[in-house]
Amino acid sequence: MFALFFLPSRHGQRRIVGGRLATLAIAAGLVGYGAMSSNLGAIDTLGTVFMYLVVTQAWNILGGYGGYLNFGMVTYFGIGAYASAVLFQYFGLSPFLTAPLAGAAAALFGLLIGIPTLRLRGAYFAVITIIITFAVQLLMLDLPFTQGALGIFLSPLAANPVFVERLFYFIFFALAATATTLVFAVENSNFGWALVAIREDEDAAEVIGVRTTAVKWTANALAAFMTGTVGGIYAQRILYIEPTGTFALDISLNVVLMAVIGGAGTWQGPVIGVPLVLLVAEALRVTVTSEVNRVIFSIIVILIALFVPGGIMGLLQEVRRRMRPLVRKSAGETMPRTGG
Amino acid sequence: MTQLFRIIRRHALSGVAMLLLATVHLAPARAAGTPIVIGGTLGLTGAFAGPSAEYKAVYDYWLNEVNKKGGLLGRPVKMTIYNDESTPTIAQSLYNRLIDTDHADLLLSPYTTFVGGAIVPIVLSHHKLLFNGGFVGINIFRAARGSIIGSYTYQEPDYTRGLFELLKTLPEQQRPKRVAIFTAQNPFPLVVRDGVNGQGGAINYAKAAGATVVVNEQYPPGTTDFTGLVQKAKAAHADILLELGLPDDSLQVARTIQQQGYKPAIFCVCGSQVSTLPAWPKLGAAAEGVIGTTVSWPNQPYRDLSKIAAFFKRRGYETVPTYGIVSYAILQVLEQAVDGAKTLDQDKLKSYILSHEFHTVAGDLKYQADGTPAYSEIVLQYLHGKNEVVWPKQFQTSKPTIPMP
Repeated sequence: MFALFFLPSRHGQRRIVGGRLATLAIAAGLVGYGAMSSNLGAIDTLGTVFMYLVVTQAWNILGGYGGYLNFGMVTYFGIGAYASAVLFQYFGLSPFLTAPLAGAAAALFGLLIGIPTLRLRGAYFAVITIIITFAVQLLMLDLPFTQGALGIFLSPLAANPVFVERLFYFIFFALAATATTLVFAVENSNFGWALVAIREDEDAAEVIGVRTTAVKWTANALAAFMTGTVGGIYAQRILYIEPTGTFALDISLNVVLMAVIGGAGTWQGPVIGVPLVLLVAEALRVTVTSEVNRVIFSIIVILIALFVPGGIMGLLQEVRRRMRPLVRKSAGETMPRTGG
Repeated sequence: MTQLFRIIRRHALSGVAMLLLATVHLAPARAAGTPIVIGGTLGLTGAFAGPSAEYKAVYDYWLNEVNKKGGLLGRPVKMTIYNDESTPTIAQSLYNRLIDTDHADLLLSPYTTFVGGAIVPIVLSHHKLLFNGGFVGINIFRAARGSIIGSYTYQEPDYTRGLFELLKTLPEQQRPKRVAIFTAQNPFPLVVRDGVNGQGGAINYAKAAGATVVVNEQYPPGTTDFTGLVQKAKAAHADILLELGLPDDSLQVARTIQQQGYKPAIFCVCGSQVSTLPAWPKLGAAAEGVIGTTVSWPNQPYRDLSKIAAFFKRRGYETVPTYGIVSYAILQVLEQAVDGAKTLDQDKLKSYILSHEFHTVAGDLKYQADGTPAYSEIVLQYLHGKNEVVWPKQFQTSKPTIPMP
């Protein structure tokens, strides 16, 4: 229910303040939990939630606001992971230091690959993103410096397990907070509106002066940078990367699933969708069998597609829209406020 | 009346007491106290669901047996096996949970090197032993310095060793000399091919046997069309074909060889053996003469081997899958180690394991310093619709047919 606080409000200043306070309280709670808890399983799971939150927010920029369904986020993630691992393997540089370089490598790839692919639309774009994932995976299998299918081992950190898990928890938390803030800024900027215009009608957006190619290109490179950076840290967390697992299509599909369930095209969507999907999956995994969680999520996605295309955020916005007249009535308002 | 009531009550109580004593005496040994928790994960869904389900069946079978015998150290045994969905990151999270939340006393590895390799650092950082019947990986074993205890009796560099030992038993003029190698782009078959630090590996064994490698090709995961590769081997007149892959692609190579009319003298599916052996009957004529390897065979005098073979027969398997052997063997090692060392202390268990012999379905295992058992291997050939042992000679159930029919 805390998601209600995130709802953008044009009228209620008090609600905005309340929402910000709630967000801060949750963030402070998560920081406190990370610092105090020694429950490794929970810290590890929450670390994964934050990691996916970064990637899902990155996807949200072009996929949610721009309407370009990218099923290949794992390509950027894998490039980031490999960039870090290769720099560690040949130069002994820690992935903690080289994560921005990993992000830059992914962004450069995003820029290059964006030139041909962002000219495609709809299903063609979605399909090409999957194909690129497979192509890059094959490249990693054959390039000599990636050690092909043998993969690359990284050295574990010389610290106790609780410290290590906490470290990744806080790094991913910081990245997730930064990514969410960035997407919030995008949502409230001309850049964000340009993306929404592209999603609604790209031709019309171009006619009214939106530089669609540049906007898409920038959005894609930004998403690639965020995803590549987190991929670079992931390499140090998992300690062994090889092409099959690092470029697993599951990661891309999970990201889309989380965004769609939470509500694509809103900064709150991934904040709701990622923990919901991962924590429910984790709970089901340790209580019932995993087949059940796949079935449950499939049913949820079908229901969302049929009845709530905007995801949980869409549903909440709809509830609030319907409740608004009742709230006004109870507050004695007879005319809508015009602001000022 | 009161006295009569007392007499009846006394007799009734005596009767109940005797009945209880008799029940206690006749009942099987029953463990008491806090259960010993054995934890692990398996890919019960996802890419490795097939073999993982069989691992789980073996675990359940052993658990039932061990609790019937009175558990371990007089305590009941509980097993917590989570589904890692064949995904390393999920497995990592679950191993943290097993150690931290479930307080697992003993840990079993997941299935396959791909998932298993990812959880090793977590297990080792908690100074836990990993009982590993799930994967091979000589580099991982060596890095763990005896903290991973395996039950595969041969590691990747030695997968083709038995085959080349078999070749040495043939008269010089009958030995095939031109080798074609197909290798899946997967960490494990690549080491089967290349060995480690110049030791072992199909290429080295071939050279040592005086053979020449005329084709050496890799193929990416998920390959389904092997026509080009098979044509290349055929054109190079390779008379030994080594398929170093995973079960699905290996079966596909066998089909393609038959379709293309290619008949090398030896065709060895010398990569993953876990689920290929029981699959040969499904291939019909394409499987005739194919060579494969495994850890042990029911004609060997190993403890409970016939029992586990019967267990798999009840599950519809004519041939015991290799994973059935190694999964049961690692639990036998665990059981004998805990019983022998009389402790769950991980350091004491490690010392005990590295200094004692264990009688298992995989053989009488003696451990090396890196936690792997000493080398032993069985080479099989699928002849007249069933797998026959062709090497080593003392366990032969049939002479090898070379060239293959």
